[in-house]
Amino acid sequence: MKRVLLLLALSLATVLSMAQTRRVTGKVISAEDSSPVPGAGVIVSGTTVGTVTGMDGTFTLNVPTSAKSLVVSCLGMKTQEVDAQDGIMVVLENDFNALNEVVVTAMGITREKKALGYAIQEVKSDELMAAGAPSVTSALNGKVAGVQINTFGGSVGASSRISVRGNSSLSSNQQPLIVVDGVPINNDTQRTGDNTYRGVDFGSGLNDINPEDIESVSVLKGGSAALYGMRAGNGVILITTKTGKRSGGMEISYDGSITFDRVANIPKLQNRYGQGYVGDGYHYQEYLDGGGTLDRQAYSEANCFTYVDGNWGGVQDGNDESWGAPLDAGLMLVQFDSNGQKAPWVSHPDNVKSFFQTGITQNHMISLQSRSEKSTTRVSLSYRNQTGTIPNTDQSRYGAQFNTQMTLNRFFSFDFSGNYTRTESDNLVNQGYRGNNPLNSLVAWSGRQINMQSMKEHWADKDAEGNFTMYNWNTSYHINPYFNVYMNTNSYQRDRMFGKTSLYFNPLDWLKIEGRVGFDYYNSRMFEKTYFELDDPEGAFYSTDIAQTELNADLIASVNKTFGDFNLTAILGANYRDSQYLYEQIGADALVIPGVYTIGNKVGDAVTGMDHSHIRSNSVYGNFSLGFKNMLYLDASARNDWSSTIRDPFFYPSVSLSWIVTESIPGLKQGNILSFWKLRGGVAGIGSATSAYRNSYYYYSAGAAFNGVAQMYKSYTYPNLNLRPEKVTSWEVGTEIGLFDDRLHLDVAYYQKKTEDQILSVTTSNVVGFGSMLVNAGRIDNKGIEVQLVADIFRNNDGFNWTSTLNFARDRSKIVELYPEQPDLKTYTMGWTWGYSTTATIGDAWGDIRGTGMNRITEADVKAGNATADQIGAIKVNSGGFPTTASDQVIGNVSPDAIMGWRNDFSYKNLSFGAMFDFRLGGDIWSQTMSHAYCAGLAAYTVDGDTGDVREKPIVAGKDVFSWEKFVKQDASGKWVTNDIQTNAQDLFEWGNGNVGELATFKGSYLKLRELYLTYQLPKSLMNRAKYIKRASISAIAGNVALLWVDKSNTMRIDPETGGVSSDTRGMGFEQASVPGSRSFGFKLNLTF
Amino acid sequence: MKNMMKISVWASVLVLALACTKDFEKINTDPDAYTSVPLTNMMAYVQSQTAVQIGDITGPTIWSGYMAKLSYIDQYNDYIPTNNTYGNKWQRVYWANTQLSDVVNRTDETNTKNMHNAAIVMQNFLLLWNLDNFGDMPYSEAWKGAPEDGGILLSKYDKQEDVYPACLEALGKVADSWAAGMGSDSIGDGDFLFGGDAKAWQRFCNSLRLRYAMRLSGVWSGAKSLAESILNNPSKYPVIEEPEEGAYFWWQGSGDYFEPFRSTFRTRPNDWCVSEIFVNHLLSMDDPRLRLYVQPCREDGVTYRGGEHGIASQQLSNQTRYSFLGEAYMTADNAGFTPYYKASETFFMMAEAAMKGWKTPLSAKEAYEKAVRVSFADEMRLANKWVPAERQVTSDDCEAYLAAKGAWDGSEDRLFYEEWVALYKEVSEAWSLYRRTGYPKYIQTAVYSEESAEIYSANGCKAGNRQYPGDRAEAYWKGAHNDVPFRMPYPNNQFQYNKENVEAASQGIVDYVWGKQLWWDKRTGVK
Repeated sequence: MKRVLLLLALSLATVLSMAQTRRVTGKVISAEDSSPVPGAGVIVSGTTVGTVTGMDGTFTLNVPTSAKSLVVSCLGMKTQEVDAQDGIMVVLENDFNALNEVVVTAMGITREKKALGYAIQEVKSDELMAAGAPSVTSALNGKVAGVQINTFGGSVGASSRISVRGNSSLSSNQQPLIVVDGVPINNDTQRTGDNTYRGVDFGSGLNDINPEDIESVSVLKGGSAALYGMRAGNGVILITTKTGKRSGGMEISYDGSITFDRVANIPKLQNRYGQGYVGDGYHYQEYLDGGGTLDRQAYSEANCFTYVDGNWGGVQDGNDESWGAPLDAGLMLVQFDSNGQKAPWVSHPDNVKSFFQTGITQNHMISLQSRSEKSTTRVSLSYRNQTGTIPNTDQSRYGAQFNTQMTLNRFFSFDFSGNYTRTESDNLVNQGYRGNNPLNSLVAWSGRQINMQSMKEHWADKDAEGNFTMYNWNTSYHINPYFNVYMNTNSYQRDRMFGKTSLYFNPLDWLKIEGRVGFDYYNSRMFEKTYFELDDPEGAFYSTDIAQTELNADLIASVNKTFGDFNLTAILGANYRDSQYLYEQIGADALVIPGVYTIGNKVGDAVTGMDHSHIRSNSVYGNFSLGFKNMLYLDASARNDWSSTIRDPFFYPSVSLSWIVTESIPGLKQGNILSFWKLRGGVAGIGSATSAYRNSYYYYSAGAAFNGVAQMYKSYTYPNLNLRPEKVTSWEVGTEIGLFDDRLHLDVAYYQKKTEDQILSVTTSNVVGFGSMLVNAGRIDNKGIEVQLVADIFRNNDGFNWTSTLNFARDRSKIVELYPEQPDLKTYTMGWTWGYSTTATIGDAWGDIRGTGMNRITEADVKAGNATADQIGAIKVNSGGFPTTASDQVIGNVSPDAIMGWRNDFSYKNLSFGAMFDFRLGGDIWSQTMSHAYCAGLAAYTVDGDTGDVREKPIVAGKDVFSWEKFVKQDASGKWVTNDIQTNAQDLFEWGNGNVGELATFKGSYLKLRELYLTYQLPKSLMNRAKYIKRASISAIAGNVALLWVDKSNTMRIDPETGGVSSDTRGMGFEQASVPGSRSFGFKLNLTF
Repeated sequence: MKNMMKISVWASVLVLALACTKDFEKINTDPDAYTSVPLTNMMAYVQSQTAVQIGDITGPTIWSGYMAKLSYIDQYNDYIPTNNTYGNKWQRVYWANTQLSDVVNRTDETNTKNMHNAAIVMQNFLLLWNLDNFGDMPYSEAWKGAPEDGGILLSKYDKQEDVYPACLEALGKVADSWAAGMGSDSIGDGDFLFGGDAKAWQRFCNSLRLRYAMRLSGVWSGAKSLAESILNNPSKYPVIEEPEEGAYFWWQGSGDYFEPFRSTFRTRPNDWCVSEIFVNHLLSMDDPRLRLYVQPCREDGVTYRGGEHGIASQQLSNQTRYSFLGEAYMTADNAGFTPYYKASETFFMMAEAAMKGWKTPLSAKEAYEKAVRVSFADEMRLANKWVPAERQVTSDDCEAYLAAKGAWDGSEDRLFYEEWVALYKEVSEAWSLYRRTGYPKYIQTAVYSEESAEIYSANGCKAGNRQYPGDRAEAYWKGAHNDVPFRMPYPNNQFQYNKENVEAASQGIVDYVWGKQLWWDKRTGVK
């Protein structure tokens, strides 16, 4: 090898020395502010001879005497061709033209966007961070067409689920692969609990990246991800971190922000009736009609509510519903905080709101960037602290990022990027239905008259023996929410390190060989403590450690060579991957001494758990791109994977073509209307592998022993010895059109994908010896369209600029097949809670919500002559006027019909302003909050209905409430006619008679004003006077500004983005007493020294 | 030179790809799993998991007349079940059978006889329990889903007429096997039911055979000879006779294994109380066991008051008026018991057999009195230590009871009411007793009192209305049903994944649980 190198060096030297050269010097400056442009490429036209400008923008180049012109280029600026004269001054203009955009593609290869035969969308740092988004996922939200981001609730550090081009898998985890600087990193969600009813959300792995460290994010949606083979099935998000490239010399910057977070979108609750039963005007009137003689005061005391112990000792005092006596009506009732005395029965409209506090989020980052001829370096240190809107919840993140690139000589260079993050929380709130989610006793089951101030003042009261009195408005089902958040805490500590280093060897100017090693490691420690909870009266704790480490080693050879009109770029690579996972839990379900969380304090057996996973894979891959005259580009790629989890190797090919029509037919550009037109298309096969250990039959131990005896069992899943990876075949076509000097730029993509061989744990009849079988089966077809429209409505370097960007996507899915060998399998369940499941049903779109629904008029009723065709879908009521139910109905679908993000950025001189709207149409949600708030009479809708005051009068379903649905009753002849049977609100909304569970499903449509910013760049003149400050800007920022519109069926105005108790597919379409999101306002400061 | 580069790149690629796959098999072996496990640890898990279902508080606790709901008197909880209300019980039986079949297959009658036989007894105990719950069930075509077992994913349902005798035959084989001599192997620490005592398993096996001989006595020709062979051959077929010999599953009291009744009261103390018909029966009989079985209500600490069924309200206000189960039946240490077979049952069955004129070692009167004495002794053994002195029961109380209202009068009434009282907390057996004999008759006769009608008039509760299935259910079913469920509804799993077969088996079933009585349920006038 050494000899080869020597030979190579010698031959090059000979070539260089033999040529006649002359020396050209020059300087490159920016047209905008005449500042030097460092790092600009200067190449002798038609050759590969070139250099880059130094820190001061100057360059020196030995050019062949024959050379006539130089091509000067720099990222983000218009490329210029200038005469090859010594001492020239090159002025580069900023490039607004998206046509020459360079994007990062698979394997970190930088390509001209126009050369790509598939959709790729890149988001740059300024676009990500203009409004100071707190996390990578929130920064990306709405900014890429076809990418849907669900953030699960407004609690501190909440996790998110990302889906690219709809949903096409039946597995619970179908998030895209995340690649940072060429190295895959883990985006596991850290969540405890059962993914069904309860748990604590400790956040997504992606949020270990400080969004301020990101230079750009590229989303590979379909075939463009093919180079990632069996990890590409759900798309790939490529993150490139900032380097020192953009700095001039050495710069130190400070970026800081502070925002104030106020709870927003608390579900709409009523304030007119308090805790208790049969207290409204309807019931009182019924009582009087029945011959009752008590006055309202006496009636209310005797029948509706009188507090004794909050545990059914009094009248309805154990009841956590609000069907009681009217508030602010002059009644006097004994209440939880009135010491046994009658006290005014009055409303506290802000009682829920006052539980929340103003959260404060602050970010500080110091970064140092340096650039020299041989190296660029960036180091950043960051600190972020957030206190939640829920009292006593918080999160801190400490980060360090280091990025360096160094050119050693003509042949060797290397880079290194490293990232360390420590995330800490003292407490994150419990979620779901466990009694220690405080939201349940605020918005799902509650007395609306509660005075939160009393709760706050007395939650820590102790009796003479020093025991907590557990002061609360109700002791049968609830504990004080303050006690909850202060005493039942969930702490978190996470260390994350990831990074890579590459050694590059350039033996020839067209050949580069890269050896790359990347690693990703985290260690998370979750500590859940319960001092007292009704389900854990003796207290409990669980300490859970999760460690994950992944090593990737790549050897990549890349070629870039021009032959006449052809340009060839190609890579050939091999990857070795080793991934290991460790889970350990220890805890106790009951404690001897309350409040001491150590294993010696356990009652009975400890709760223990241990799980390991080890996956290894090898891959070879190659990509080949041939460009012809900057107008036609052909791309082909191939990858072969060998994985330890699957016995056979797998092959993934892709091919795509891009044609710049306007280059081939320049005549089209005449008239200055069409400036750019590209057609593209491609087809690819990609996949999704599986987790470890799924192809053998095993025995396992149960988590806990019984009387000290380990409990063991044979797996109840029949394994699949010949498991294959999921197979995704997709094709897409697209076009890009630039109009009016590319001021209007349209990018449209249409795709279809077919996902087959899904790895399904197919539920079987449970009498066959096992409960499920692991099979490769199923087929889901998706098709969709993505539109990106960028309009520079006003473009004026010295004046007013307005850029408007619209991202629109629509995906349609269809379950074509499940497992034909089991013909009874028509429906595959993905997520489940409260009797409702998210499912894939043959013939339907992905994500049907199924469960007990309304008994509705069907074709059969029409055929039988009992109903008319226009009544199909009407809800049948029984003789009492209550809706009747039917089991296993499709009551919605979680997939949105369309998603859209609309950004507007304005600038005028030093001022810039931007606003981003986010729109979603459809995407149904079954809401536990709504279901329970209906049942418990908390929802404002249980008072207002559609005709107002529905508790004061007899009401009719379909007229006074749920008027968007038709309700029918059966007449004497058996025919279905419009319902006019009178009933009352309490019986209708309470489950007892009227099961309206289905009507707690709402359309998740919304329009949100997601981001706002106003930035003032301090003028140069001012900066020149401030000696040490080069640049400074200050911004006012706002996030999650307003929920502008929701569908009518969302009667409680629940934020459709909040979620259930699983952060993956299982949580989609469910809302469960989630923490409302917060609206944040604040400031952002940037100083560059 | 270019070629050299290419060759070296290709070579390294191939070396990387091919050299490292040979470890893949090893890498993909789960370090947290086993390829084989000790049998006693499998027995342990089967016992604890099935106990969770057998000891469950829902359903039969109400249908047997022992308990009533205070909160969530929801229509669907107990009288308006859906397919899946009791699906876990079914699932656990089939699951346990898979586990136990594995144990049976890995043992034999020579070196591992005791474990082999105990596993078969456990298997059939669960299958018989499932038959009592659901009726016809997949048996001959069950557990054959794996390709190597026949690949039957859609199993037909077998008639109870076939499965009951098949189970009894399997138990009979075990009985004879042990009658020929006990094995030498240990069942091990994983036997929570009998602490590894093979003799106890032998008694349990024969007692189960006796239990089902009596259950099938009205419908199966083999019943009489089976019962007689057991009752008259105590040395060959020993049965459970002493209180201490009874089959009780004792809970660990921590972790996931709290005694289920206690566990419910521990976290939701206001959901359940003792039923009015049970409390009133004990009161009317001056039965001293009332003091052990039931706690005085919290309101005054003196009165024993049961709750009424199915009142037309979601919740009863002032729940302190109603009595909870006695302290021993939901022990404060969470480590109480779930009874599977009480020794007194043997003698109640003997008395019944004697009344039928079958050959028995004791007369009906002797057997009945023995049954009551054993029941008292059993409850005293279990419960006296949990209650204050004034509520404790003595054997003198028992004799006084037998001399007074508990005296044998030769009637079915006396026998079956006493058996019902003795079976307290053994809810599946009591529910089966009711379905077979119609006792306790209160389930057909109990009506709401004036008092409850007064308290709940605002919710439409009317004095004189039938308590079963209750005002709420009555209104819902519009009078279609007048009884507690005949069976548990077939689980959703079957409707989803074995549709044709479960629908064939469901012919005649109305509203999930009514319409078709079990094979041995010959009552009339119930709907």
